[in-house]
Amino acid sequence: MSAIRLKACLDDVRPCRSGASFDRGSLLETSKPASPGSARVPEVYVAGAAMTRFGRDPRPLAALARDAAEPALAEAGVAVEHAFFGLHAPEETTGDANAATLLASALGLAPAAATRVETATSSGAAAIEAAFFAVKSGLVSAALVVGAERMTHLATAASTKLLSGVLAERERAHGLTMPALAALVARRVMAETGLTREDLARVPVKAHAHGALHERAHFRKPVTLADVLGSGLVADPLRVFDCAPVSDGAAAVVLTARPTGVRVAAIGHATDAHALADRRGEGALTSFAATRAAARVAFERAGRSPRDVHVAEVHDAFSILELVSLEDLGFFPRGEAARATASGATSLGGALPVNAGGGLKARGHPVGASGVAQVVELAEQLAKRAGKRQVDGARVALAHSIGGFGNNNLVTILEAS
Amino acid sequence: MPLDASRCAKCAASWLPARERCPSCGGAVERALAPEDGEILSWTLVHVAPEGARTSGPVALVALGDAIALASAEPGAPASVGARVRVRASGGRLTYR
Repeated sequence: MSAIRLKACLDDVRPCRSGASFDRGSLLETSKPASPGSARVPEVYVAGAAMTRFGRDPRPLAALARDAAEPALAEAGVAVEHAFFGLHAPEETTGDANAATLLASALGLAPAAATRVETATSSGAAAIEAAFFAVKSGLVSAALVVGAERMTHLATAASTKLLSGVLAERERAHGLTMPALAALVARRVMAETGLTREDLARVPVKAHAHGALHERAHFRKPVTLADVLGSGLVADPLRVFDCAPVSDGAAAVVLTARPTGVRVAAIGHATDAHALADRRGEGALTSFAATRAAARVAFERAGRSPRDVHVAEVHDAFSILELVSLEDLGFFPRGEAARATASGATSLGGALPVNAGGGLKARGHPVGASGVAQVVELAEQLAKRAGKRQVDGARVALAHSIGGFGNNNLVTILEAS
Repeated sequence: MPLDASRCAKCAASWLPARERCPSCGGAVERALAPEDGEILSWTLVHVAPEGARTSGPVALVALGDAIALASAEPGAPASVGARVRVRASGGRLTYR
């Protein structure tokens, strides 16, 4: 175990603004059932979870979705009443519009309801949130969530343009890309805290070490610090190995009101200004207020604190995002995540294993599938089915998904039940 | 030349370039001027560009008074955190030298 024990920094997990925005804390007092005739609010459980092997997979979107959904549905053994599909941009990637109907039909779910959920790179997590709300409402007893994306057939310039579409128009006008925004944050953090290039490189090295243990990961090959530091520049100072790959894949979970061994304890979800330069307040260029707000809601609703978490999936689309997010989530004090990473605290066997499944970096990042794949990983961890990646004694788990460039983020807390 | 900006009548935040609404609180804004001289907070140089994008030099986040703006480097402009630069509106976007 690492000497750096996780310090809970709940003080740091707070909403960034007051005034015009409502106080999310007050929701806790008003979220009880409104009607006196209604029964208690149902708890929500994970009844099935599965994912395809991420990577280069040229099959149609429907085949990917089927490959993930069928084992999850078989494990759950229930008929679902509503399916939620997390997809970022099927119109542009495969030309598929009406994706919810396409996939529900391919899965033979009719007459079950089908809805597509889209929040850019957190679409999968937002689809889980929609299903969670449906079951929590008591109106749906079983819901299917599938996240999927097909991307590897696109040339790099084309996928870069597609992903840049999530940025503000003013950011695109300067030729900026998603890695470029991450590079702006990375360089600012380096200037303020003394973070080094090697500190950043340790994040993908850890991701690849974990991915090597995951039979469904896109990359199963360990990489060295020299590999990361010697890879080509994408957006200075970030290099190829700082960035998650473009991948094909699908992941699925079934949520039910019927108890299982894994409970969805709470989900927090928050937004921030679309453009990075439009964010204000302390740490506006070196952290994500939307993560802090989402984490505060999730921890409050779950009755948990960062120190209770045994295993976490953190949105590491770029190396800098994992370090910033570990601090935004309250796992480490500001400026300490790099040291914790170097000490092994976030590796398998450390005090808080982060991205035991390889993260977006090594497991792969089929955009719409990523938020669902995080929950698949954590469900396997809590059910003690993670094989070589198993985190001993994991009973409380957290998934963190970033939408856009840090402006539509979700935090999901799961518990063994 | 001072730059066209907006100031929120409600929360007093400054925005560059000018806006129709405050991005922070949604309040009405009034016309304001921002200083043209500022300091680079961070910068990057895109090596893998999106399809159809014009190739560009460094792009910086520049602090101009209490506003922060994205600006593209003019040829020969510095790219280092803390550098003092002068910003101008050029071709529908901000540039610095």
